[in-house]
Amino acid sequence: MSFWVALLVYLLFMGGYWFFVWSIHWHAREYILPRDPSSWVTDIFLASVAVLSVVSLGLFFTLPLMF
Amino acid sequence: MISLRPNEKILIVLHRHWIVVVAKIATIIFIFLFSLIIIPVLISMDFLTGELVGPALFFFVVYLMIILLMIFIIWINYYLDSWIITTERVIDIDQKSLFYREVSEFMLDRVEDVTVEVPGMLATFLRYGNIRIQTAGEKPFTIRDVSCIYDAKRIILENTR
Repeated sequence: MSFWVALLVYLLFMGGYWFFVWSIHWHAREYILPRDPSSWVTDIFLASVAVLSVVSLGLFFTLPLMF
Repeated sequence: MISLRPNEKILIVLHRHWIVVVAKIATIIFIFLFSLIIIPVLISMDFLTGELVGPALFFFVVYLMIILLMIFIIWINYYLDSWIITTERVIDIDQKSLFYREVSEFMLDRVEDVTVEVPGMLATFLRYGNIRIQTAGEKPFTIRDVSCIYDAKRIILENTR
């Protein structure tokens, strides 16, 4: 597969993925009551997703793709 | 965000018992773990060698991201599905899915009768149940699978005028 096609597919996936991530974050910020002890769950989620996204981006450039 | 009236205070916030969400999340984790069986199979067939290790790792991370997202969508739907009992009313927030939310409420002064149900062995051991509230001239209102049912009943009855 061409590098640019793969990059386009990957960016489309990441765009859709982060749409849902920000939706969860928005719901948590908007609807979880102040001083709720469970708000740390969304923080852990956001941190995990950010780390995995960076890792996947790094791994994407190791794929054997032709320019 | 729920807006409170002047002098109105939140008395208790009820969520469904954790067993409700654990069952759903455990299913997804089980599917994830079960699908990992493919890795030793691929290694034993000499597929995961040399330059294929990088792509395999990439797809594994993407798969992990999707699983994580599914778990947190389930969690946020579970957590935002709640009942808020204030000094004046009961607010029922029904989070049906990520983009489908229903909020209804009734005043505590319309409460006529509060019934607590503990349905079954699991509910007895894990201390959760249903609270059925009969209001004047309306259908009974049921709060399902919540913990602290006796506290909630007491708070509702104490604040019913």
